[in-house]
Amino acid sequence: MENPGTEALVIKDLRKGYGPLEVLSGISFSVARGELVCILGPSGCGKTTILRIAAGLIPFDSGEVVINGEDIGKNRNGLRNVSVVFQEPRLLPWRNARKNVQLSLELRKDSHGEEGTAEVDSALELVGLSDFAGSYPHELSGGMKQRVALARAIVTEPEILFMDEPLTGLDMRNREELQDEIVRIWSNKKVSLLLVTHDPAEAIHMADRIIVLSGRPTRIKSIIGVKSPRPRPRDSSEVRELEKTIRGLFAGESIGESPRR
Amino acid sequence: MRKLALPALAIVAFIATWWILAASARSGLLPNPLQTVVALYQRLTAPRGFNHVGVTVYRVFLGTLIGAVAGIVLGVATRYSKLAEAAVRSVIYPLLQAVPTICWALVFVLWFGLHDTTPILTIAVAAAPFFLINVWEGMKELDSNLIEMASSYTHNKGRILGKVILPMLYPYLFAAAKSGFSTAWKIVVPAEIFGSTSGMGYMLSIAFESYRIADVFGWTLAFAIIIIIFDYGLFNFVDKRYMRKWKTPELKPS
Repeated sequence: MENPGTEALVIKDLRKGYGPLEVLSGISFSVARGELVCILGPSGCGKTTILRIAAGLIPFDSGEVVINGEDIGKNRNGLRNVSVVFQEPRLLPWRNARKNVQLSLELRKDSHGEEGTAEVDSALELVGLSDFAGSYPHELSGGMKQRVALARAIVTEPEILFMDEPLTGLDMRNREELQDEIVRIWSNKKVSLLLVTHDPAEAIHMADRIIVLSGRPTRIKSIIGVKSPRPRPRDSSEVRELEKTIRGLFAGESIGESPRR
Repeated sequence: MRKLALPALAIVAFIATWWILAASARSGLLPNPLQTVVALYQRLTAPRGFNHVGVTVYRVFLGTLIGAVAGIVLGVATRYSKLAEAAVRSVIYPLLQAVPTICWALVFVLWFGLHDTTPILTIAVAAAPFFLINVWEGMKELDSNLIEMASSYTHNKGRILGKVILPMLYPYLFAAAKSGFSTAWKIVVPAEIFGSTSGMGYMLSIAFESYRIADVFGWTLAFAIIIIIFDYGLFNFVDKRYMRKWKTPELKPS
């Protein structure tokens, strides 16, 4: 095993095509330990593809993906330290919230025996759902379901958390609440977080760094650092300035409208 | 109470009609309900009477279980192997569908004689296609999002099968069990007539051969009661109590 170093995720010269169609090319970036990085790009630009490759869910053509010092192209050991939150909650409808959170532990574990009840309870508490541990998915709201999915992802204590537009399906109030909640959980757990979004305001509110992607074939247009301390105000001259810069990068391309408050 | 009134009325009307028909039929051709119940009671309380019920229930359960395991294993295999899919699609399922169950029963009599194996295997062969087709169909309808979610946590296919895929198939397995059992109870009669020297089907054939019409009706009534307990009692109970959660689809965020 190589020395894990200070990077949780290193992506070098990543290329992915479907037949003659080149989806990604020359993608290189890294996520430092404990860093919160957002990937921002127009819809259909392949930002989700990057995340799915890094999470080991789909193969790639060339390049290198190193998680925690382990090259996932060579062996999948690095993926033990990864959890994914998807756009949809993807809960098992026949399991209550607690059992859904426990699922990731059951799937990870190589030995049989009592599952970590204490870990499940503290994950549920962290997402504010202790009182709903016994509720089934159909009894929970969209935001609550996504919180269960979040608890399921963090209960395995991952080194790096991947989130694929986790808030896209939610209404404005839930989105902003969960943006703050994800930031809180990220700093509480000292986990590295890579979040894909099409909403510039979301990226500016949450990220340490924003990786701005172009349309197809996807390349990195720019990497923008966001220095302002947390908790960040939703509206300030700095936020407006950053949003202007980002929108400037997309002149002529369609970037998702960030819903106005 | 009102909910029970109409069904009760229908049952009373049925028994009354039966009684009237029995009274007007040529003597002995149609025993009335009381004679039928008395005949059944006498058969059951005769030496080894209840054993015949027990052995039939045992064969139905074991046969259905064997058919279920075979059907589920084949159905699951269609997901993991192209060869298995081709074999199931082109040979195994058509063979199970096309060959009349009685033909299987006769072949098993020739192979195994009048032994327990004959009715049990006949039932297994009759029940297996229900499990196979339901699991096979279920495998095509699986929510790939849930499987992707599971595979983000493990690459152990067995664990994903056990924790996510098989539970997703419960509604299909439930439907299969319902049809499979229902068929098993019907097929156990000819299977025991041809291939056994015990069981309710065998007793039915003895009653038939010795022209004891009340006994024929008695054993038929016994079959009917057991099937009703199963179908209306057990499966309805399981359906109402446990299947609710599976039927609720996960709503996409809107």
